[in-house]
Amino acid sequence: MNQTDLQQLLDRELKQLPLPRAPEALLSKVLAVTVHQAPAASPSGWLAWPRAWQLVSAAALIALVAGAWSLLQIAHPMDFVWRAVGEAPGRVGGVVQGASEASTLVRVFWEVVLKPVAAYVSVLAIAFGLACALLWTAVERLALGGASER
Amino acid sequence: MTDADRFEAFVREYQDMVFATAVRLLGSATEAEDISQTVFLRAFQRFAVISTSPTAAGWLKTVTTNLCLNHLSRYRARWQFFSELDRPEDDESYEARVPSRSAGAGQQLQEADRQARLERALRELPDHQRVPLVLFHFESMTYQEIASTLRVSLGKVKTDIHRGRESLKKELSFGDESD
Repeated sequence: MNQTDLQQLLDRELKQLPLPRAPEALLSKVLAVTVHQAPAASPSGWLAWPRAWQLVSAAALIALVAGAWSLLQIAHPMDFVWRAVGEAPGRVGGVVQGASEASTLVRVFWEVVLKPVAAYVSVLAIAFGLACALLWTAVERLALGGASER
Repeated sequence: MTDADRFEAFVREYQDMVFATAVRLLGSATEAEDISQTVFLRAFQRFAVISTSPTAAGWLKTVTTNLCLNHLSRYRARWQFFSELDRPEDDESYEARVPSRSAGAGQQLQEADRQARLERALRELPDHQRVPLVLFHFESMTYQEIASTLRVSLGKVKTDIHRGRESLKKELSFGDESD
């Protein structure tokens, strides 16, 4: 019998072996240890999503924010809307005029107060988020146990 | 159904699989029971995630395998030492370990008897032969993966598996002769 035949024969024989039964005491021992403990709380919402979905959604959110940011740098799209609607006569025109002024006020507030620090705040928020994710992963692996022991 | 009930059902469902993986890797029912208990305690800590996961069985097998290998490397200091030595006495004492053939009435009994002897022979292989053999045949790992997991050379894995198979082959031959 050559090596390949022996390998195939043994593979077949070993896989046909009945599964050894766990000792009767195993279940009671496990339950005795866990009976006074509550299982870890179930994650909910975004935390319960599969890891790949979490990554994709985070990337999509970042892309969305970056896109909106770029758009704001290039043009102020609401100006076109106000201009078009502002030409309407009567009371509607007054309301639109008011909204346009409010928009201008918000924009000025943004340009003067928020914009200078927005980039730093964004970087800090992203760094903080990443640090939290890394910390949580480390805690999960070390304290709560993980599949990759080696 | 409460969480406790669900966890009990979970343990009942997977306890044989976990124990079988452990006992075949360790060759000792007592140690396998301890490892199985640890595996289920870990599962309990992550039960919220595992209980609904379609890969629960795979997770349990991975944890069991890793814990067994850790156990072998940590608590069996002889592992590395004896793995470098030949053990010709194994061959000599082989038949002595096999119980005398029972006069089974039917073919099923004979088959069960043969399987029991094979299982026993597998468990009694030296660690350095049994572990790679079990990883290859039961866990479907490749030689390269086994070498990487056990941190030994590819050649050593092949040699150890070959010797393990030769030992088990005698068991199979013994069974055939007795038929």
